[in-house]
Amino acid sequence: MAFLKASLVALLAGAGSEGPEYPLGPLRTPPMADAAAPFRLVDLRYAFTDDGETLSSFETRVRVGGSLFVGGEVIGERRGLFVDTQRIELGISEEDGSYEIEGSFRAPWFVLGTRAFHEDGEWSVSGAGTVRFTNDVEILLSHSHDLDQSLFAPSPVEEVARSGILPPLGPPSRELHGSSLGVLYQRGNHLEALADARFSRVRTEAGFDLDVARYRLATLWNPDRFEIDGELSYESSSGRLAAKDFTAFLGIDAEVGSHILARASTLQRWEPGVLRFEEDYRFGATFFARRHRFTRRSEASARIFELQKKANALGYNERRVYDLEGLRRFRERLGLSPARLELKEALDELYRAQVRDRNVPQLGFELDIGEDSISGIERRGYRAFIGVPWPVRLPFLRSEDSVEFLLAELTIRHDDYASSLRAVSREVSLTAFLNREMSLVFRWQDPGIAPEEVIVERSRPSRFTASFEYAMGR
Amino acid sequence: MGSEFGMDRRDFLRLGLGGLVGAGVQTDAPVPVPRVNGGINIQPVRRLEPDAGLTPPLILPEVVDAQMRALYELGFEHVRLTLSFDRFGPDFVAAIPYVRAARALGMDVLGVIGQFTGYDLVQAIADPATRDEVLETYLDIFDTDLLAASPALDSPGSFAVQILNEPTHFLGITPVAYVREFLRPAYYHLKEDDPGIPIVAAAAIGSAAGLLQSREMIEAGLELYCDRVAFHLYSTEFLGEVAELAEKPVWVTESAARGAASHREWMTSTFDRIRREVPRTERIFWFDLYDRGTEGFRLIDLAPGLDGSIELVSESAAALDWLHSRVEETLLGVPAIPYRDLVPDITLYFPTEEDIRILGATSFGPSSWRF
Repeated sequence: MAFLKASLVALLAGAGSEGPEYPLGPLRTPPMADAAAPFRLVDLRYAFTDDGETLSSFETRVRVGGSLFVGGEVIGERRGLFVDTQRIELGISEEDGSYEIEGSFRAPWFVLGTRAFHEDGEWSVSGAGTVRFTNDVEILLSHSHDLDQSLFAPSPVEEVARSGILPPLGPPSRELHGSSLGVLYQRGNHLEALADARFSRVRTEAGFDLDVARYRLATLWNPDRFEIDGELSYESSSGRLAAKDFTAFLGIDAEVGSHILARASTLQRWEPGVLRFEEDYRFGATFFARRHRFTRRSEASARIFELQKKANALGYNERRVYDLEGLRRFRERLGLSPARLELKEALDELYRAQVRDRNVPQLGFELDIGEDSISGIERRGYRAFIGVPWPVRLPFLRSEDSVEFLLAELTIRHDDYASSLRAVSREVSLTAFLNREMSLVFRWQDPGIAPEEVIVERSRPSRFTASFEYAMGR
Repeated sequence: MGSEFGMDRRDFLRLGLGGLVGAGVQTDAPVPVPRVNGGINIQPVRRLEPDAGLTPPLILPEVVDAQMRALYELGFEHVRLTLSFDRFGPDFVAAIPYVRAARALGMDVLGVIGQFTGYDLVQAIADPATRDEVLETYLDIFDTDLLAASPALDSPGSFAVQILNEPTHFLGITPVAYVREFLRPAYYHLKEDDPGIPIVAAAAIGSAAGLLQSREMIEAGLELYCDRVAFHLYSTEFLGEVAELAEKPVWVTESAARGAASHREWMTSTFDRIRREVPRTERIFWFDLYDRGTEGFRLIDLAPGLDGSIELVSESAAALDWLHSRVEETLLGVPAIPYRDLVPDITLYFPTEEDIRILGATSFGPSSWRF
């Protein structure tokens, strides 16, 4: 009880805060580097889903003392337990008799992770690792191996005739083993480049094997008021289904004035000499209540750069990351490190810079047009959202002291099948950000009716989800 | 309008084929027209009016008779047609005389278990409660023993089934779902009832997208659940890729060029090229003998005569001439048995009371027909 009481007090505590006002009041700088005494709640998620059947999921994580996080989850039938230190992460979960065990170790110049999955009496194992050469360069390695190398043989007709029971399907196409090698280069905060190659053997659902080679180049470049991300990959399969195809993605985000961000992207997949079999185009624009800032060009990015350099000099082997959750994990790991008191001020400053750099979307629209020739679907998607910032003001006013508060979103998608059937899916959500760390989400989804559901005369029910999330230090 | 042979289009078939079966050196006993011209698709048309609905008679004997005569006289070996489920309604019943007459004339029939429009059939196959009944009824009606039209014919034609037609294109079913949810259960149920019946998997649409769909079907195990793999080839662009895909024998269940001017060339050199470059090809079915469309594939048109008869009208003179010449070459001057001698009355092959009883006993019987 005392722990719960202390946690609630901590959740709502605004004492010692600096920064904006949230609906629940001002927020303190999260004590990332401070030891818990003996526990501190850092994550709490609860979600309730009803789609004819109800499902509850519960996830929590607490900090124990100065150098440990312990977490647990119950998601439907899945139960899991996790323990993280700065250098070691361990997890085990179970669902319907299947077990998943994962772990990783972060050394000063390499990270090694492994995952083992046990289902139906067979194990599949995979490992992945990185080797750090400098602050900016990492070699990426991975290998996976499925110990179940069995070959599916369909039941003979006579046996099915005797039993009168339709035999089960064979396993879907799966990777028997695969290895990859890549290099990641980060230049300052504004450029990232990735090159990798993966070679694998795939056992098809039909029972024959394919050798697949995949080569990929990806980059993200944020020179100033725009950001470009692109990826080009080439995949070749040899064997019965020999094929060579390319996938290209290009996205551009550009600031239009100080408060509007426009985005355009395209994805193309094609097999040279045969067909461009998938294409997707997206266009959108968002109006922000505050001046828009790219994370890589923000005040926080300079602190990320400095903190990563310092962490690696201490042998902590950290990569520069820029997304909200990645940054939170980055700060958490350093907050568990032996040098946490030395890094405390820098960690707090990074958090405060993130708060100062926050973007507050108020109005947005996105159009998605796509086509998939293999499944014979032409897609049209429309997404629009409108936000009400805190403190509440008339809509579409600029205000540098505002934070996100309410966000209502509508997504409609039309899938037109070659058979002339149109499936229309809809999703409506309302998110209330009570403060930077706490949010409530209500979502309703109607998945629409695809041809295969028309055929089985069964439509997927609409789904309602309500969830609460607390994430300390987000 | 005169044909390139200086004859009226309506006269071409009547005189050409009529001449064929009536001419020749008269020293030998007549023989059936030899089956030497491969396969062709036909449409089991009930009446010529596209919106005939339930206008009696549901099936016009002259329409069936005219198409059967053309098939026989043009020397086709294999016939493919859709056995449209139609909840065992008129379109299903209309296929009965086509299948039986063709088989009686010695032609092998490939019946597509399909449906011209709607989801009734795939719903019935997807539902374990109706799957047995539907598939068994197909076999009860079409996979039956029957007599050849004449003792001069070696034997009646065989019967094979194809499970759906271009499922992604016409029904929106993904290639993987087709194999798992439709082909696989249909294969086991049909083989359980008749282990000897050849089962042909559906072909994907005859385009580049269809090639990629075929790949996905093969990867999903299509060849585990069929005896023949099918392709639709309306271009020669991907013959190399098609040849690599299948390990089982291949039936090209649709192939053709648009426009009568291209028909003969396609039937000759392109069909040869397909056989050469896709070595597992066993059968190729031209698309088609007759349809109501204006896409330029059909070989003949059907025209109502003043006396209620149906006349065959040439739409593709060069192709018909070539087919005709191959029959003539094979006959070596021996007279052919006229069609009318073999099929004096097409209604002999029409649905019987037993057929109606079988269909009426199903849960889809006449009381559930939807029109």
